[in-house]
Amino acid sequence: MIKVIIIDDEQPAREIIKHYLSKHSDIEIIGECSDGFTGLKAIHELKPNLVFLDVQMPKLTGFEMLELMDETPQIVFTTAFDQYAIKAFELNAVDYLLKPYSQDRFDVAVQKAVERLQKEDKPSGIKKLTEHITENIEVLDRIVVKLGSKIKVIPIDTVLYIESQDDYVMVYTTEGKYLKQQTMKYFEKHLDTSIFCRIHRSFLVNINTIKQLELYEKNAYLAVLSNGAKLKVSDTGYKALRGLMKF
Amino acid sequence: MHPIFIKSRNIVYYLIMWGLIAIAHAVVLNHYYGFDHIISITDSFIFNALFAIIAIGLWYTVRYNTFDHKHLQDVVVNHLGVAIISLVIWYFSGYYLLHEMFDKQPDYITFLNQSIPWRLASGLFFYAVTVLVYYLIISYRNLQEKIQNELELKTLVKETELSMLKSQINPHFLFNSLNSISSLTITNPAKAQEMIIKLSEFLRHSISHKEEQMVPLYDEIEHIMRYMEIEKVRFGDRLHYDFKVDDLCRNFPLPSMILQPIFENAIKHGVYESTEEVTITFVCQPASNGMLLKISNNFDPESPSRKGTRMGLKNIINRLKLIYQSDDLLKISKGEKIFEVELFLPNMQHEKKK
Repeated sequence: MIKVIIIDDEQPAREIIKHYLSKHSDIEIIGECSDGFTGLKAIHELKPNLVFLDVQMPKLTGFEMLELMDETPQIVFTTAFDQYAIKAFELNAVDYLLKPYSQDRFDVAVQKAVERLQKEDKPSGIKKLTEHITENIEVLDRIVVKLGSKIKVIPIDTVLYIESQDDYVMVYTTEGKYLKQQTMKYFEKHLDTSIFCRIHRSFLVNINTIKQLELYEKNAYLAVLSNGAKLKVSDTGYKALRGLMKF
Repeated sequence: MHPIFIKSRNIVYYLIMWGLIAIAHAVVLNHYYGFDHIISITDSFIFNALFAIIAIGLWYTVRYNTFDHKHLQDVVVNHLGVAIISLVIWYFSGYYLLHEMFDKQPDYITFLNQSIPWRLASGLFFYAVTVLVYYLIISYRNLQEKIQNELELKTLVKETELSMLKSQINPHFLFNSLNSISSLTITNPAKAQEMIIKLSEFLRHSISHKEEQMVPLYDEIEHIMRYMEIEKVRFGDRLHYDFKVDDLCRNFPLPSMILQPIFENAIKHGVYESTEEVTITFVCQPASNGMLLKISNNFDPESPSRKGTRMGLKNIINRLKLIYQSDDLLKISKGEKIFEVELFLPNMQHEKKK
């Protein structure tokens, strides 16, 4: 039996999936969720093989959910947005269903998922998919992180700075610090470049939080932030900062 | 801004022009009247330099003496007064300076005393030419400004038209609604039919409306009701709406499709981003010289507001500016849990009477 969870914030959209699935006797629906938070929890607890996932949802988008999953089941996106569709097909996603879709089209997606599950194919494509899709998102307006079993959505304007830590980054906000599995390069690319500045190899700073620059050695500066933190500023970082803050 | 000082190049041109006049002046004195070089050049320099300075100041009499605000006779009287005063100052200061310098040269002093008539005549001529040039500059500038304004207005119209076209039918809304219909055909065919009809009516209205068209309020409300009913099918209990429209407002004319984006916005940022129930409230009351409309929705304060949210509202502000020539009709306020858009629409008949 293939275990399936349906995640969509619109009830009629879930209904049609349930109806289409009723023709597949080898599939069992083990959960139905209407937002990203409960969806993530359900995936974690119920360990489905296959998830039908909407993109635009309250709390967390489908893409943000993928970022937060430890073990990724097979994912079939169901969405009315077509801007990510082409990329999704180029990559190794199970499928990408554009609403509204027919039973036949839906069956094709299910068939693909079944084949993958039989081959016990690890959905490596999904990881690539999220990376590629996020490439298309121009500017991040929030960051989602996991705090134990909880999920924290950080609005970008509360971020003070981001520090690189090997494969991870530490996101410092007005409230605390959060570990996130993502590269500095990614954040440098996707944060608003008029606000965030790479002042050092290890630091990406929200320039609105810089209170002052302190000279601590010859030609070496420390940026003092509103929360008291002092961060090293490299030569290139200093130049970038000058350009951005116009001093 | 004074036209001479606006660019350093203009100062150079101005000095060259006066330099040429001064050379001609000096040549005449030297050649026809037989004064030596020093006297000719000094006489020419003093009178022309003084006038060059006075002519700079004349800009301000011209600037504050335009025909837009004053009657012709006032302008003429003002100029006569200014001309007499400036010519008297010009002539007597020049006369005094030269008299002091060359009082040992009786021939020149006699000439200086006798030259009043043609000096004043030439002064009057300089005055007239200067003032005319200044008026030309002002009217040229006004023309430029007008062309610039028209250009800006045209761009605004184009932008607004374009974003109107884009915003007319939100494809995301359309395809999600079609998906709901697809679902309803199985679970509730009667409701599916009802929704197809509503969606058709909604689309017909969206396609047929013209931007400049004024429609009665009830027409807009019917359109919005259809929209809300379609969204209600998608979101069920997550969406509630409450319309309180004063009967006096029902026929009030307003630009077509001006309210629709506000409701779309409320759904997008209220319902899309929240798992709680969202209520959209619409209140419409008559106000002095117009009508006051308030559209508010509660939202999930924990969901960070997505960017690019103000595009729809900005488009409305642009349209209102084009139609009512006013850019403070729309007020947006965001409370802790309530987002409210307040819109005041002035009476169009009243505007026309003005």
